[in-house]
Amino acid sequence: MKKEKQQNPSELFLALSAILTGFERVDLLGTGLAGAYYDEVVSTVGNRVSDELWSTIHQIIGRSGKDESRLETAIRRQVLASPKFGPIARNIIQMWYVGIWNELPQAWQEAYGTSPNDTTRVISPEAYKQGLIWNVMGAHPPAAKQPGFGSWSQLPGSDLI
Amino acid sequence: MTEKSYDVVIVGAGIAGAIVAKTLTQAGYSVLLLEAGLQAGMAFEDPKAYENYQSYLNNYYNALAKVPNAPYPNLQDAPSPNVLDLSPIQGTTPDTTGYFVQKGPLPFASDYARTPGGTTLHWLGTCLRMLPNDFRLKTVYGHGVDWPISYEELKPYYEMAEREIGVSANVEEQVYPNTGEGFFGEDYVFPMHKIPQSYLDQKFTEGVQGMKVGVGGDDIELYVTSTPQGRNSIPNHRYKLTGPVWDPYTNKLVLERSEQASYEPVGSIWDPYTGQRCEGNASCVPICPVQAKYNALKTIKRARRENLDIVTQAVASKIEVDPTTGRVKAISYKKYHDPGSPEHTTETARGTVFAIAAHSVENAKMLLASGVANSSNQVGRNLMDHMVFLTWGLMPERVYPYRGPGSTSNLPVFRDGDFRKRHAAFIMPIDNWGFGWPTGAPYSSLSAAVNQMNLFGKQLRKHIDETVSRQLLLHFECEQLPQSENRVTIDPQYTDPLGNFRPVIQYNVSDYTRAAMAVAKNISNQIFARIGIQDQTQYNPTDSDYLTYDGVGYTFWGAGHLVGTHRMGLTRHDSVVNSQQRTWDHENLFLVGCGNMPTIGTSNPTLTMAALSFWAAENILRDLK
Repeated sequence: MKKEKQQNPSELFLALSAILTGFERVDLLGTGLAGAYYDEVVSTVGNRVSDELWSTIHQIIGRSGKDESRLETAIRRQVLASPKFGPIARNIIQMWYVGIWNELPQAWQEAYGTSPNDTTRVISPEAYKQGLIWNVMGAHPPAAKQPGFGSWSQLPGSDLI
Repeated sequence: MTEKSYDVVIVGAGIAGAIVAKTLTQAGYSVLLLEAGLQAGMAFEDPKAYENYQSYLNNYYNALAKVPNAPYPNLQDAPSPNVLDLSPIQGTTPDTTGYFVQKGPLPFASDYARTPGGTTLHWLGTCLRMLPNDFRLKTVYGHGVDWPISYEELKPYYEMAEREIGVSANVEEQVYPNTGEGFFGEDYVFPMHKIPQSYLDQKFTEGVQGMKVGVGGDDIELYVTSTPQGRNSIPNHRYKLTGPVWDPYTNKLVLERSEQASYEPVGSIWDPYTGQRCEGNASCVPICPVQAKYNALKTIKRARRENLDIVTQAVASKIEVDPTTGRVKAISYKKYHDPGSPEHTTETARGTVFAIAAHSVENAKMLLASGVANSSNQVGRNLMDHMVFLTWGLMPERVYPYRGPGSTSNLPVFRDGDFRKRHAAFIMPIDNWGFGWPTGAPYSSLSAAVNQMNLFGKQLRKHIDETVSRQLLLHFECEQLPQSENRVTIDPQYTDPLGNFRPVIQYNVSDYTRAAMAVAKNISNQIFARIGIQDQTQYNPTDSDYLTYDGVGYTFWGAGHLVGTHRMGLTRHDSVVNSQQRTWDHENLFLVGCGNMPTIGTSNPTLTMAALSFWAAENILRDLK
């Protein structure tokens, strides 16, 4: 059961996202955007590249087990430093943090293909509102999740920090 | 074709036009209000008002660059300038990227919104009165010009404006240089208590406690005050003023005092219970989701509606003057159905008195296009903005920016003083929104962390938490002098799809203001050193409004203030309107708005312009009697 779960691409995407963002799986699920962001990646980079990425993540997790340091090194070397996966991974971080998809670099598009989806844009109003960067900053997305009159005079309430 | 002739025809449904329309209709006169923006924006009831505003909010959420005009529709038939169109001007080639034709040498940096409610939809809301010496800059300091009116004369109208907008402030904290006693009326209080000052302000204030800065040989002590703003806060139960009402016996517009009176915050136009207090959306510029911030739609809603006809999607194009009397007969306007199509019908608005309130640049443009009111040759000239000079750095401890209104405190120390003989005055707001304005933070901070620093995971979180939370933005808003060559003109080469002229702007910043920027950087350096702020300020020669002074480069941004293009004065030779805000050349033509202001001082001009608008309305009422 667990093994199947780990092989599921959406789960692998979530597992990768958790490592890349530094947030727990449950925090990411709590945004309600895991599905939308997964779709964003797959529909923009295509099935072939995304399947390779999930397969790579699956292997990395399998080999690293609970060794966080080993996990991070593997992600850094095999994903972030990879010409194929690096730009995608950096986009995944920024999607979760601010709800924006960044058009992939020219070099990547030439090597792996282009997609009409691949434009720099805010993914959706909900993606904007669910950006995790604001939690890290002790703030909130401007024009949403307003914390109330006078709140700015106090230290931020304890939350996801 | 409108057959009806109104008592007053007003062009422009921003705050100036709204104040005049409200005052006149409440006094029983008939008003036609022409507005270039969309009909959908002129909704005052639920659900249309709510739905239209939600569409603005949605535009905001979807915008990559959340600039002041991001939420609002940019209409081909009534275009608005956008700061995203700014770029450095190359040589003598005008930059025609956006609505403005920028001839330079520096691009004019500010914008406005042509939409119902006007620029108050995206303004910050800071409401400071000008200082007495701002009205006598020439006499006292030998620079600029004097106004034909004094601060004392404008004072009662300031009170009206503060009531209309709903200004929150603690009067006892409003201590400004050189104002002496009696700056405010005796026993005067603001309608609402101050907006709470931010945690960031508190930390900054602690840091500069007792600090003196050296400026031109003098040592000046710094102090921080709360900033009055048009944003809902807790009503002050000592506020007892109502009105203003027009008294036809004394010929005066007056606020009345009543012990039974109490001020009630004005919430959103779709629901009075929404927006009764600022909720900390931290998005005032460009949009307050709950309308706790004042916008001019609230004033239009309070007009006596049975006396008010509003025509939207109507771009006033020509002021028609009777050649024998010099009186304005009519205003012709182009009415479009689809803002993306140049198709339109031409209609005529007739009235007894005409008031043009389309904001400084559009007002000047219309006068020039019509060939009216310009015997002084001052129309379009003396365009002024505030130079927003920014410095930024990391505070030693977290101060949690990006919260609350854009600015809740300021240092008023340099708003007036002897130094104005040598360089411009400036006000120092403390900005609450981190490095956002100059650098696009926190997006840029994230991008740098991910792409350049190669951070991810828990390291990334830690880095953001430890750095972005310490971002401090210090702001020096510098006065600009009226200069003849800073001007708006028209040129048949440059028109919009409706066939109206695009504003052609020539613009530069004089040494008087550049010197102030150098002084400001020096002060910033002293403050940063004292508090231990890690300076991250950077000005690039590729910035649109990069300039040099004494061999050093500085960048400024636009404050969103557009002032001076049809200024008032003592004589018809050097001004466009007299102290009544009536054009010298046409007896029944009034101009309203920031364009009337001969100098800009160090305060955001909306409050002063709102005060002037009440005064103009009073003058029009006297005419109509």
